[in-house]
Amino acid sequence: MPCIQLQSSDGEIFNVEFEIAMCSFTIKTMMVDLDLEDNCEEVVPLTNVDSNILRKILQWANYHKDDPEANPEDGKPVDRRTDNICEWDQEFMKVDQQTLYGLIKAANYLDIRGLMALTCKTVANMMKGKTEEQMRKMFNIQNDLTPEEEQQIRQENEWCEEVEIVAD
Amino acid sequence: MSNKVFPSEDLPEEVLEHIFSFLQLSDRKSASLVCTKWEKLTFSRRILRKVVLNIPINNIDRMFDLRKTKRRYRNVFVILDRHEFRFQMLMITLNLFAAYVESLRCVGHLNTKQLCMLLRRLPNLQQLTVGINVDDDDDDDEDDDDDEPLEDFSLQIESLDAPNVTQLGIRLSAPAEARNVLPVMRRLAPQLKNVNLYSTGYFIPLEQLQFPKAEVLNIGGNLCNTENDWVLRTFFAGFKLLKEVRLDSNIQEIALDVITSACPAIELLKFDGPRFNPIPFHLLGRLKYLKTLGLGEVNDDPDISLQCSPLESVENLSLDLSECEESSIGRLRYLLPNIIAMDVTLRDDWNIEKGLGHVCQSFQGLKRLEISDNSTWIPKSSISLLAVEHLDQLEELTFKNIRTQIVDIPPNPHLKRLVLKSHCWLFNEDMLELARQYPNLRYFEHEPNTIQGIAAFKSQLVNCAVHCRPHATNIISRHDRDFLENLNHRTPLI
Repeated sequence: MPCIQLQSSDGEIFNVEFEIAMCSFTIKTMMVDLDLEDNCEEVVPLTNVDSNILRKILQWANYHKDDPEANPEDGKPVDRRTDNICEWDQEFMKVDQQTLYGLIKAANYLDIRGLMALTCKTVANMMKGKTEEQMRKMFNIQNDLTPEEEQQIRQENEWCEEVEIVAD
Repeated sequence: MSNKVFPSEDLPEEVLEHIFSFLQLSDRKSASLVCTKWEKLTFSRRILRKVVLNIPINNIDRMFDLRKTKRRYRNVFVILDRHEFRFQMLMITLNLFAAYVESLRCVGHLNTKQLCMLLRRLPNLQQLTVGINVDDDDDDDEDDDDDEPLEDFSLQIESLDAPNVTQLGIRLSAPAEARNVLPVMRRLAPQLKNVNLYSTGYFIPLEQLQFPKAEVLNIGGNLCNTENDWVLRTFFAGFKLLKEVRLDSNIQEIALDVITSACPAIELLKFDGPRFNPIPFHLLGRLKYLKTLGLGEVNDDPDISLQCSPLESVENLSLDLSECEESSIGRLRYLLPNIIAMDVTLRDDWNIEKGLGHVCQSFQGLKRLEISDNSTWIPKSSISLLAVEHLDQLEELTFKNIRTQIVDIPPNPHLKRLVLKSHCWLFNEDMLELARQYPNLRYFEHEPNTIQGIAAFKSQLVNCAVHCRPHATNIISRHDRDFLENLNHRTPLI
């Protein structure tokens, strides 16, 4: 099995099967651009991902390497459900907030779509049913809206409804 | 999990937006009140695809509040009345995000002139749906039309440019309304791809409308209720490229005759209401690409003739079993040999066991089956699913309107999706039985259910997405409760 070497921001080197590394569009593009496809000796530096996070990501990518690739152009509606996370992923997501945050940033940087969806769904699930005040606490955000703006948003929200899903 | 705060501040905006896109509207509304940045992202242009703005036209003050909006709404719904002033206010409000509006639905009073103004104001409109008012009386309209010299008006319509409008839906309930929309309809007809027409009467001179580019046609009500065959022939012969047709009206055989000749590429055809008899298999046989067929009500025996050759391309079938003989199903099976998905509604004396038994015996190649029980039969204390045993390729099974307990669950290693909608009862031990018989289930939906039942099921099938809402006792009607208490001697764990 051909491998490539990934180097985390803190200097650790990971020997990764080609197929697993390819779940990241960023790495895929890098390989093509740098013409590394036949060269296993080269080390690919990932300056934004530390070794803890990279280890977690490789664990996830290994489990999901056989997943069918989602093609946004195939006409199927984009998956917006958050209650369809499989058991393995649910276990995988039992991490502290810092790690979750690190995973999201890394998934975004490495452009791993499946992991991006999983981490974002997990955060969305944490927000479900919360009030704006609870959300502010959860994310440590200062309210910078004036009472007038708040009133305006509240009012406008009242006029917003979900688009009816046209079922066939 | 640590109590540390999630450091969202550093996340790129597109990541936050991605997170918000997984929230339901009610949670997005809460999130929009968190801070300025979140308000922008929770109602971003991308997310607004799934939101309709319902403009509060009946309250001018509140409509005035909208003038501060920063959101670029894509979908707009408005109920109009006959006050010109309010229509003007609507036009001013729409100005705030006019370039972004892609779909507009209007209900209420709307005359030709206003309709033209709306179309002019919304340059990127793709979808227009107009359902006009019931209490619109003729006199008032005459006045409106008199404001404008006639020749000026037809010029306005001729020069009307709404290049992006490809979908049009019209619901009419009075001749006056038809007069209001007809000129605009005629102008837009040649460019429309998706046409949805409904009318409570024969108000439109159909022969004046031709939709040569339409790929989807839904037509309903009494729109085609004319004795004049020539009108129907002219109208239906105007279609060339149809792929999907839904006929929700007393459509006549002549219409189907013309449409099946004019558009041989039809892939979906559904009768969503009363249909002429017998089932026109001889006409449907022209559609070599027909994949999905909705037969509507299947009534009498002579309904299904064996004279025609089987429709081999059809894979999906929906029908209402009404007063037809049991042998009808066998004949349908002969005429539709390759069905893999079926939606069945049971009526009259087609109770669930009888319906299920016949369907499963005849259509053994089914991969997907949905059965809805609307029969007049008094439910038994339990129903047996044994007949499902015949379907050894079944992957998806859905039951609707079943108000009794399910027993005799046959095993099926292929079943991936099971949906039990409304009041069919499963006891906790039944849940375990389900989990045993369907080891590869990936999706299970059933409500109401007990918390213990759900937990037991989940522990058996860890990879199955479970959609069960634990029920509160107060949602169970008295009737159901009495019924349950009389069931066998088992005590439901509610």
